[in-house]
Amino acid sequence: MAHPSVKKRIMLEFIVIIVLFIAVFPFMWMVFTSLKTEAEVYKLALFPKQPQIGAYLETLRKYDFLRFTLNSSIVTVLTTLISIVVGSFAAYSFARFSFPGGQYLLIAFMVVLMLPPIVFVIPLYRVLNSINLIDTFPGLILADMTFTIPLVTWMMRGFFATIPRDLEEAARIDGCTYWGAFFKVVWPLSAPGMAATAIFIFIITWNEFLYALSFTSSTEVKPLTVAVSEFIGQFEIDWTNLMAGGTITCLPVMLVAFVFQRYLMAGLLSGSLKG
Amino acid sequence: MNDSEHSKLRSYFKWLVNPSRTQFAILLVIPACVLALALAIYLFGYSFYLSLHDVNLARPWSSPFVGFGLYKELFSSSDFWRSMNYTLYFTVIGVSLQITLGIALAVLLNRKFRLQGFYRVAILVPWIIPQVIAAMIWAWILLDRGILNTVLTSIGILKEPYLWLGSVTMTKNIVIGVSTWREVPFLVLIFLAGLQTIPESMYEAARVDGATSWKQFWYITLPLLRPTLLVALLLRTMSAIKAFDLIYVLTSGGPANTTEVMGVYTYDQAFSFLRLGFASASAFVLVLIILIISVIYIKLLWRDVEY
Repeated sequence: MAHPSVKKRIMLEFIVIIVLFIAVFPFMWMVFTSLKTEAEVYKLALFPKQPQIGAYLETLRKYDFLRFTLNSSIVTVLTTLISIVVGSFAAYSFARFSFPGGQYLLIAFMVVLMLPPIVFVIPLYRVLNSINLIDTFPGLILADMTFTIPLVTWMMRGFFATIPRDLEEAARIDGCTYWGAFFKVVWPLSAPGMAATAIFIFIITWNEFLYALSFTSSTEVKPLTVAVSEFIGQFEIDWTNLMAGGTITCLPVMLVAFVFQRYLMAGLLSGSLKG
Repeated sequence: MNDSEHSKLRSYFKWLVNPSRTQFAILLVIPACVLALALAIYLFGYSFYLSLHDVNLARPWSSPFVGFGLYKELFSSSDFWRSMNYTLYFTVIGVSLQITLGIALAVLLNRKFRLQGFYRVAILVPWIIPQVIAAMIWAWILLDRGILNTVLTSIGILKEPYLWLGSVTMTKNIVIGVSTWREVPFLVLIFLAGLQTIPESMYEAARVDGATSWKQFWYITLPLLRPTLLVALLLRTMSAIKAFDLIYVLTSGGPANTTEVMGVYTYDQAFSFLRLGFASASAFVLVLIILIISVIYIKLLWRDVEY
């Protein structure tokens, strides 16, 4: 649109700002509330008169949020690492080779991705219970991997397909095994794609709620998302603590998203456009 | 080990260390298949098996086989149909609203401006934070003593604080509103990417021919955006039907179970009523709906790829 009138231009600027405001204000409101004193919480003022981090200290120590953060971190990092490795292996196979049944296998992966997690929750509970993995990190990680691995496979497959084969072929001619060609040539080249996928999986796993809610209960294992949801019911009066808990839960994902935004954008856009 | 033992060991593991092409291909997919696919398929089958037995954790000693009895009970349950009803409402209204808003905003924001990169990540905040937190924030904002009421009463639009999540109709729509707040930024990004593949020359040619902005949108933008639109539509619809986190935390399916989407209904049946068999049947119906919709969409998409 080359020559919009001045009125149009002002309106567009206005819309740009409004959209940003609507998107960001609720989050900012939570952060500001967490820094207020209990008395200020219901007032109309946007900023606290004097920011207090008392709510954070209390939430982290007295209400165990430090532990919950550790739990979330353990589950998310391990799930992401394992899923990236396992998923990339499979993705590479699907992108480069065909073997009997390969096509059906790929479709099976896609179908699993489409299914609602709720259909897995009930049987997963029984299975995890029978092998004593309820309320443990491995249990939750295993549950999360049922969707993160297919997701990684889907995202990385498109990415591997964009890497020209010549390099691997050259490595093979030089005497590399298939493993060698994969690790020496393809793996380093796919770092950006893997980074993008890793960021995406990190965010999804950190934010995961249903499986965490269903399969964890103790303070030692419960991640932040579950802790906050329970916090809501318990402490309806103490809003500063609740908002502090919420902010703590959001910060790591937001940090990751902002610091790695280039990779995040690449991952989001390539994954969905390739359908 | 001496040499002959060494070479025997090597020959046993040759397929692992230096596989042939096909062996390699299969080796690569095995971990993923075992950890995710096999487990998922097993769970899926187990879920179906459960749905054929009236498993009730309140009476764990008896889990009689009832064939499709639980499905019959499901389809004659008014709670189930109310849940279906709302899930449909939530999905259709929600997704239409979100896609429309997504395209509209993408078109409006499709121009170069300062700090564009920062802007794009900033508007993604609703999508980046966990759904649980999004629900919590909005519950807080919409509280009777929350900021929305405070602002509206002090301006004078409202005489007294309104219970936003109190009435049935209001809550039904607010849930859609919050969901929209969360999902639209992501859609805007996707559509923006799609829009940027449309060459400016096409718009220029149209302008030379005297086309209005609206005509440009309808005859150039929309058709070229179609593949992206269809993918976005499919993904959003699937997500909406599976919705759980946001609604569970925001309303718990209330007031009086009126915002109980299928995910929440199934979860409640399983973990509150302890009727694992019944809940599995409910989950399975959801799966069937998703599969049907996927098939319909795939048929639409395939036809659309050639244009």
